[in-house]
Amino acid sequence: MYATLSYDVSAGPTPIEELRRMILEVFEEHDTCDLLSDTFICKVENTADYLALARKLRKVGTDVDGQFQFVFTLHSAGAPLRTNAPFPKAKANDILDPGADE
Amino acid sequence: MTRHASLLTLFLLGAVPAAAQDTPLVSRSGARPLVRPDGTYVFQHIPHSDLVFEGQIAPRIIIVDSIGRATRNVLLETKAPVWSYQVSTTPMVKLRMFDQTSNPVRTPSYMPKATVQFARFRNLSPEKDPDAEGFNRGPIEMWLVDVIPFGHHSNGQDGCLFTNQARNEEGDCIDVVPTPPEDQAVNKKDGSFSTNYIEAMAFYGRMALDSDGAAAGDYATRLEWRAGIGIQLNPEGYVGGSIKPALADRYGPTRILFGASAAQRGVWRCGRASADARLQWLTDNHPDVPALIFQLEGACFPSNWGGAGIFVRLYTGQDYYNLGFTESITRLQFGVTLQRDQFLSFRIKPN
Repeated sequence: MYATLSYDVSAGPTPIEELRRMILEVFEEHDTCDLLSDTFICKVENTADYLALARKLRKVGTDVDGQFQFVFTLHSAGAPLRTNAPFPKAKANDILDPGADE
Repeated sequence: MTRHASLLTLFLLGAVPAAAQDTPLVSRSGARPLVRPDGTYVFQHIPHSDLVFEGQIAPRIIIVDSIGRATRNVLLETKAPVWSYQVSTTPMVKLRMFDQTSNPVRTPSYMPKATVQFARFRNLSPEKDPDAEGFNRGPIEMWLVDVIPFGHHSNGQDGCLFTNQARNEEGDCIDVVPTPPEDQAVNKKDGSFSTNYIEAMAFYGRMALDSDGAAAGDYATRLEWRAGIGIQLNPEGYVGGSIKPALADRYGPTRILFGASAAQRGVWRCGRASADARLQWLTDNHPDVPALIFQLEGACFPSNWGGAGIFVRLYTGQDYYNLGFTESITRLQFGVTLQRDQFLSFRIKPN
């Protein structure tokens, strides 16, 4: 299964670079994550893994006092990725459906 | 019927329910789950007899279900109970093939029944915050009332039940040779056996959940147990085919039922490892058979067997196979089984 992150970052007391580092830190233990065009996708092990990431993202949002807002959505493995922007299909498939090539 | 043709038929009939399910061992939240199905079996037993094999074909056909919907709400409702029900039918058949001329299947038990289940779920997690890590792990408490408002058990034969009887012009079986009831021998070749029953059992159980191996957005049962008590009645005059007085005197028409079971997901190579104990107390048993029936079964369902598994069962007490009701048997049964209880999955609260 995999998760998609859509987010909005606004200017505020926390520098954008610092905020970006905090967001990426949430996913640092997940090496199968990628920013494909306008969509950040990440392979997750199970529902508990997804919930743990969601909790960390929520904490980032709280720490920066509303500068970071997001929607983090869980998808079944192989479920199609819906985005309006073009993205590299092969790269995405490694995360969306890692068992498909085996 | 030949042995090979029968085995092939049994295999094909038994394979259909398992192949038709996407996740035979774990139901997704929202799907119609199998809870306490009878299961399909093919088996042998020791001590050895002239049995070629014994089989039970019992696909559960779910007609109406709200348990699936309930599994999407239990974790949302925090501590509030969630009620649900399921109505199903099971065209169950039990048969024994014997190592005799032409390998006869003598005489099969036809046991169709309707089942109504009521289930009440509640999350017993000590965590109150849905965002807390332990909230989705439960345990989930389940009260299950399993009712069979109508069950039938017959063997499709037209002979008289006892060997000293013959049918008169009205078709009733009367004693040709006057014989005291305790000396009457059962006509095992084509004796007609028929009864209708009502059964109700109430269970209490718990399920501990985790998300390994569960569908996206679900937490699935890792470990479960339940125990219950109930009663089975075989009343005279309960719809056509009900038990006759001569059979009621020797069958034991009132039975108190006890049951307990436990199962765990992912034990060694078993996608499901289960143990099941059942006890029946015949309140008005005939002196030929003991008042207690006991069975203990252990089963392992490998993850990649599509819902099939292997089992061992110890059975002791009155023979459950239609015309065997006057005999007491003790057997260690072993073989293949499929279409059994599914581990329930529960939908997490959305962020």
